[in-house]
Amino acid sequence: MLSVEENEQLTQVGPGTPMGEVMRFYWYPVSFSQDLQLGHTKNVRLLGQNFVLYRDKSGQLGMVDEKCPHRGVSMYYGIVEDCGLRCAYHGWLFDQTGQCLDQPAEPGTSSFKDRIQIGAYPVEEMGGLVWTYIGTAPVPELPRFDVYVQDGVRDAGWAVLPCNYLQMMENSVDPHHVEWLHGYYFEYLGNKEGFEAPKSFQKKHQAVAFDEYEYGIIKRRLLEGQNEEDDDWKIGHPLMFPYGMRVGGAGNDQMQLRIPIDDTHTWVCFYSLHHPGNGSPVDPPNHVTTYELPWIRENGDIVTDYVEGQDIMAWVTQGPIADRSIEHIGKSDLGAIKVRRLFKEQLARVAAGEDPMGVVRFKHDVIDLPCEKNKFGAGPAFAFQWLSMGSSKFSPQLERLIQIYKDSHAAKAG
Amino acid sequence: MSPQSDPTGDAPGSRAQLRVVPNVEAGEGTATKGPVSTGAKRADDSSLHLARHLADRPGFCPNCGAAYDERGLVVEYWTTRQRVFHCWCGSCRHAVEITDATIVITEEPEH
Repeated sequence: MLSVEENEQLTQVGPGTPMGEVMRFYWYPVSFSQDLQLGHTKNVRLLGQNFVLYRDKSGQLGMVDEKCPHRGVSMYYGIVEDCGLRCAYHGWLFDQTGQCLDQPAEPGTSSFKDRIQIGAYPVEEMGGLVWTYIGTAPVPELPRFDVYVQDGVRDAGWAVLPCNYLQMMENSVDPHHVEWLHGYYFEYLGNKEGFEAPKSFQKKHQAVAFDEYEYGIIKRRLLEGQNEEDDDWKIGHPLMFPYGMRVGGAGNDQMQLRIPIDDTHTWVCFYSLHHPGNGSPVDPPNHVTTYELPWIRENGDIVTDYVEGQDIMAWVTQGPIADRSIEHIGKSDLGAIKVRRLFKEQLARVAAGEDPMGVVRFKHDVIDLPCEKNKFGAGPAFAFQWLSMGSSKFSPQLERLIQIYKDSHAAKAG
Repeated sequence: MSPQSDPTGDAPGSRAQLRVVPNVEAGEGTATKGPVSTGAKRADDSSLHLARHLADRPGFCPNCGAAYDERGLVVEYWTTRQRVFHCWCGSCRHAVEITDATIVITEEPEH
């Protein structure tokens, strides 16, 4: 249980809020590369601020504040030029740095344009995603986490959900929900609706542990029948501060992204890299098969017959911002307590002039993250259960993905 | 006194009110010891519920003495019948758990 004020402080992400300032130390994905064609613009809302992303005719990406500094018209309707974006209203042209280059209606001798800038932000592409940084200088390195840069086949289901991102981050350090929500409840639903629920999610937890590390918290679980040499305990998988969770197994490595659009909306993306090995295929690095997840029915019910849909139910039904002043949490919720403390610790670091955790300032090619391979002790079966009963079941390339794992296992056996 | 009543007339959340509202979870303020009602249970008014829980939570860091203000964190949770406060101090960054000492269990020494 928290006070109302503590809850507000932890959940507010807008500019000028304490946690919003912490959140602005990080790079964020704001689009899939393929959704931003040459000469097009796209509206972006991130951490309560509005921007316009564009790819100019030279192929360069740029992102600027939504409003033109002249008269406040949306740059979404701007004219994409060879090197920059021109406001549709009076033709003011801005380059990638935000500098105004042209004001067609002003006298040709005027230096007015030299004194005008629009907010402009660094943009990079990695792993088929467009990333941006909206914090203050110096700009940190874009972290090249393993799933974004390693070879394999990429697949991403996404949804915009009407709730605060912290509800998802608390869920990331809540191991016990797996055996209930994805185990017992899934089995209950399967019996009721006539499908077979995945068994590997049903094992009971004997112990859980949370270790703070460079990029967040390593979550470990010891399931019935396991010992401390099993991957789930020995390696675990990380919550990635402040908006991710790295998870996976059996050749399917996933980053779950929870990008705060504002205090009450979050863009979630289950970004998977399929690379089971033994000659499994490799797609071009910026190619991702994307699809919107069906998470709500026409009658308002949430779709819960797949793993991530069950998580979405838990996140969304807590409300736009979970009221933690009326909760009753117990010993099994220590992960949620741990993550709340982690956020507060980063607030203190920023207030003291330090970087919060996980801000990368060093040059690198790839950052490998710890993540179990033999998930739930299920072996290769985990990949098939996750594909068929997780968000990937909505992927347009599901049949191809299943075949990739079959071929990999056949090659290994042969 | 009903948990829903305002015993002081002060605005909800005021210090005067916080001092006198009983901690129902801990059994304070229970008027009778009769059979537990099996009828419908009315949910607490959330603001009073919160006020009861804020009333006796730790206010100061036992390590450095600083107040647990907006820089710190106090999270209340339960383990069996015990209320526990996970506290983190924004001044000295010390974490500690503080619990209600409602019962002391010890072993009787040989004599």
